[in-house]
Amino acid sequence: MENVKKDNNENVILRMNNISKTFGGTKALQNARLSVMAGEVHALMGENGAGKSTMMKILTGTVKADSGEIELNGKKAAISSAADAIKQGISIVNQELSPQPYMTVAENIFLFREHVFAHTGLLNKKVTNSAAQKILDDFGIDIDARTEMCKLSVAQMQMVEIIRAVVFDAKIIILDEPTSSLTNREVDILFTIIKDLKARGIAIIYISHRMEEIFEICDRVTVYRDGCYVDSKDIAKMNNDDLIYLMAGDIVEFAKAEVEIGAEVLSVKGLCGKGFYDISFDVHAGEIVGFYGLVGSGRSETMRAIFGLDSYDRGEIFLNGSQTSIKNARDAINQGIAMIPEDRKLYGLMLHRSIRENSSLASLYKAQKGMLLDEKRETKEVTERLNKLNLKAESIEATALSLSGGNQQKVVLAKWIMTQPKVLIMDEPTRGIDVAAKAQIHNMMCDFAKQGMAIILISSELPEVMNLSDRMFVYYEGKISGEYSREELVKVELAKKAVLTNAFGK
Amino acid sequence: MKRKFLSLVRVMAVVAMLVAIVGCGAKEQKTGQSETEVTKQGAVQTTQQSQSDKRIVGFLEKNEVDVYHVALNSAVTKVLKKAKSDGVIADYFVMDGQSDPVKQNNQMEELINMGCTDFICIFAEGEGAVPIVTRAAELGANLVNVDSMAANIDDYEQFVRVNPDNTAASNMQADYAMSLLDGGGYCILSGISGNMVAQQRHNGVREVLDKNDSWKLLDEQWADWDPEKSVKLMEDWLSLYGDNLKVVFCGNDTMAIAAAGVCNAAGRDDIIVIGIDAIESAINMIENGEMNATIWQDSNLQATTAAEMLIELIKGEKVDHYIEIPNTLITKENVDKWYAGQPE
Amino acid sequence: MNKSKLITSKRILQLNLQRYAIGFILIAMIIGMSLVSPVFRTSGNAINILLQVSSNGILAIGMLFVMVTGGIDLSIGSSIALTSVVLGKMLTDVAPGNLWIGIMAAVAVTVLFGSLNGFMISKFNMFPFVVTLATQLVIRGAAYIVGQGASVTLVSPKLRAIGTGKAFGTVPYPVIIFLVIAFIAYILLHKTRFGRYVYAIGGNRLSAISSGINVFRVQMAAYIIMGICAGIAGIITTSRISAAQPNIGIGYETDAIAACVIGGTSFSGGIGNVSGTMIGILMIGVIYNSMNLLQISSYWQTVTKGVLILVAVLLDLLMNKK
Repeated sequence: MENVKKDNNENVILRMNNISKTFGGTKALQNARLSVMAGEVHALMGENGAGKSTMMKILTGTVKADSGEIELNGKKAAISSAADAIKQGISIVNQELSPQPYMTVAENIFLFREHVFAHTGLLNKKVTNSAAQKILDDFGIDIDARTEMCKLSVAQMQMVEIIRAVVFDAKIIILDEPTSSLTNREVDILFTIIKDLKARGIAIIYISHRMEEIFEICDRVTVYRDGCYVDSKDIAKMNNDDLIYLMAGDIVEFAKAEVEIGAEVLSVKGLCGKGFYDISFDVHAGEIVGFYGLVGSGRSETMRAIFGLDSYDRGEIFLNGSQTSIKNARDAINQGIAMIPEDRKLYGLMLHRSIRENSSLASLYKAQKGMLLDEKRETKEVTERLNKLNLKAESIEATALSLSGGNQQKVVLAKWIMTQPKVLIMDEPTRGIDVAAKAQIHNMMCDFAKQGMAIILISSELPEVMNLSDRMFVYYEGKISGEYSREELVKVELAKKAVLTNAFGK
Repeated sequence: MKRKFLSLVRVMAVVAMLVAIVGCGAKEQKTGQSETEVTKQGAVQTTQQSQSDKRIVGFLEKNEVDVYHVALNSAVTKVLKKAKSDGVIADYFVMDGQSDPVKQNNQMEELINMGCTDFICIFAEGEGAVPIVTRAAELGANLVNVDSMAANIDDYEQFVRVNPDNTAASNMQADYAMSLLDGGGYCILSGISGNMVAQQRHNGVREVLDKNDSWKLLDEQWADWDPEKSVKLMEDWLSLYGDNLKVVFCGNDTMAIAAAGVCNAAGRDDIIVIGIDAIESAINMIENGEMNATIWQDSNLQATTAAEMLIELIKGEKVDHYIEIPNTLITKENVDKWYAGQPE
Repeated sequence: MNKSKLITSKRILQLNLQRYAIGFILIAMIIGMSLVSPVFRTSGNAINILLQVSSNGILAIGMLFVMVTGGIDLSIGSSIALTSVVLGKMLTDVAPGNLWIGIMAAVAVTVLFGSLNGFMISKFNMFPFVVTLATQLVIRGAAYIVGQGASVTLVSPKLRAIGTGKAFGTVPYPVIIFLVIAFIAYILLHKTRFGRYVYAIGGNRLSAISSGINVFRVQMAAYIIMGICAGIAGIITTSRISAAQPNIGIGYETDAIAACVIGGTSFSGGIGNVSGTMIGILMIGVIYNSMNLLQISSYWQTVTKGVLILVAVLLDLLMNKK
């Protein structure tokens, strides 16, 4: 089923053939393959667990394939370790960046490739700094090379990692979900850099779930499903639906059902705090209220204050009509508010504990029997809840760490649903999650709304927010700059334009 | 680059400051301290020269944490306090050695810098005290060594040591046991193994009983003066040796009290437990019949005598080099003797 | 956009302020004590302080390497004792009269144990706290075994000279040894690639591994450096008390760690420097000395050290709020 005609052997920089890998009982990869040409941006797509991350782990030397071979520039290559992969010109910029936080940008860029004085072998700080600055300037990145790494934004850190790959003479740079924490402007800068890299003949392997980006920047795409290679195609010859179909076969198309809107559950008047000003809105039972805006526009800050994690300076919060004050998270939970945080790893999960322990954490009183915990009851409750959420895992005793991103999010969801909240705040619930799981979560949200829950959805993905919301608010620099009803949202193109204008300021 | 250079400069500045004080300090000619001018090379000064008006006593304590030493310390400071108020000495300084010979060496230098002309010392370790004694000799100072002796104290006839004979003390333990029984199995609980006092209190028992075939050594262990370790060892010994075990010799009362407690709780009050030091809690147990005996080395007498001897030396009197503090066996019968010897 | 450039200079100022803070506090202490106590002002006392902090300072420098990798070494106190006993054994039984063979043997032993620590921590990824807690006991036991529990007076004048001799008649040798070691450490840690890798391992171990750094070798080296420092400190200590003793060095690791923490070293690794550590050790020395001169009870000295560490850590948290 090979559709790729331009696969000249001279241009192919990487070929992976017949790669198989089994972890414990699971077949992560079965005779999978990949071929990448120099100077192209090659997208890798597939649901979580489809095998693309395993392919990359094998390529970068973190994991050893059970069988199969890798060819670099037509010659057989053996990649024994992460350091070895780098030596052979393969670099990866991970979704979770892990630089040296206490070293400067220049030191990070040249880590293990330091400039030294010729005779003494001592570090040459001056040359290190100037060389780093030069490369940054070449790529048009406005960062001072002497800045401490931990002071940079996520976007800037990412750029430094890319520069590092370039310094290490990478011929293949793998970008794993590079835009998940970037603003649109930052994405543009990233794409400019990618084009620059292309011009230098470097191949980019681009892993992402964001279809618009794939269509914008990538040349070809390879799709995996359930550990097997499905197909490789030119992007130019495809559209959205083609891609979705390749990845997941048939997905239940999502259609938002009509839900009866009930009484007002939560009302916020004139709320002011760090990063948000004069916020007023209300949410009713059965409603999904969406909040759209750029990263850092104040949505998460507002919700964190409502949930009691941060304090607010002025304003009133009303629950079920009566004014209330929320001093901390426990307060919020007791009054029926639940929040699924933006960063599930940092705030949502105890990664080394089991799924069961994570799911029951916010509602342990349910498993209480006298003075002690009743594990049987706990297991029963958790299993019921997770089944409803369609969670696939070997056992609920497995650690949260072992789950894919989508499943981890379901565990966090389970945890908060078990507190039977009246208001559920979801902050970027489907970020970094594959299309199938995303659809499932969307379906669930509508189910909860049908059961009478009021849902607040924060999302930076315009289609998602527009699709799901009964009403939508747009944030710009800490203030609400626009409000849209369902009727307006249904007129998609018009609404889109208006919303985006509001989000970016006039 | 710049900031690292700057910080290096700052450290150098601090060190330079200290060194500058070195230079300035050499010219310090205030009264009091430099009359007893201490030369940096530690050259020998004759005793006559140091007999100027200002006598300052330096007291090196071994530690301030156990009952025995706290008693010693307060007895010494009592005498020094009186001597100060009487005007015999100008002042005295106290240093807590925290049972560390290294600290005591450092503290000796500090005392010298503070102008001390005479010293009274309870040493943490016999060997580690050697440089301190030598230093005092170099300065022509007076030194009285109380309780734990320095290894070289006998090399200096002009110094005085006031201490009990610890080997004789444990001889006495053995003799007492032999007066009660004709023979049997025995165990020894000793202090910290590197410590001279601990070794002497251990060796004395073996010295006497090894000669006698009817006495059998079942086990001997270094319990580091620690009651918890003593408890564990005693429990093990009870199960291991059962009725064969007749006597437990303990290097000090802290361990003896612990051992006796274990024996009594196990219903073995037939076992003879003997300690050394005669601390109050041990005396109480002896009165109640919970422990058999202890050796009283009259720390109060020891410390007071030592301090008084130092004052004598300062006054210029001649004092014997070795003042032995007698060992007295204290049993239920003669506890009143102990009470008589306690300070008010 | 000049925003990022602004960040740098502000941050540099902040960092300097923090390091300056400790230095200024130390200078203030010295000035304060000089005004209060005439004895403090004397040359003898100043030399004394420097002498007293020398051997602990050498331990602190070694500890710095280990802590920057994110580790810790609790066994150094015991190493001092082992060094002492081995040196004693060499000088009395094995090779009497030959000081240098004795010294080399003593240091070789601590290097061996340093390698053992390093090996278990690097190869098997065991927690440094746990490993060195165990070796602390093993080494202490070894010290007792080698000397059969006995202490030995060492009369060798050459040995004595190390601890008590003075260069130019004023500067004691241990101080010179300390300063030389500090200087070497400064170059190693801040100016060589090896030093950079030490920071990398502590700053982000994963990043170091995936950069190709030989984490095993670098970590081993850090613990071996600690071993060497412990050996040298042990020899100086033995020389000063002229005796081989198996029960010295108890609690010395606490002072070394305290000096590092006061000097800005972080337990999580990746942060720390030589000059800060030296200020830390000087500060501890000045405080102890001052308390002795003022005749403040030693119980309070222990409390003060603890408070000092707390203050240093708090200061660090406040300054480094990200």
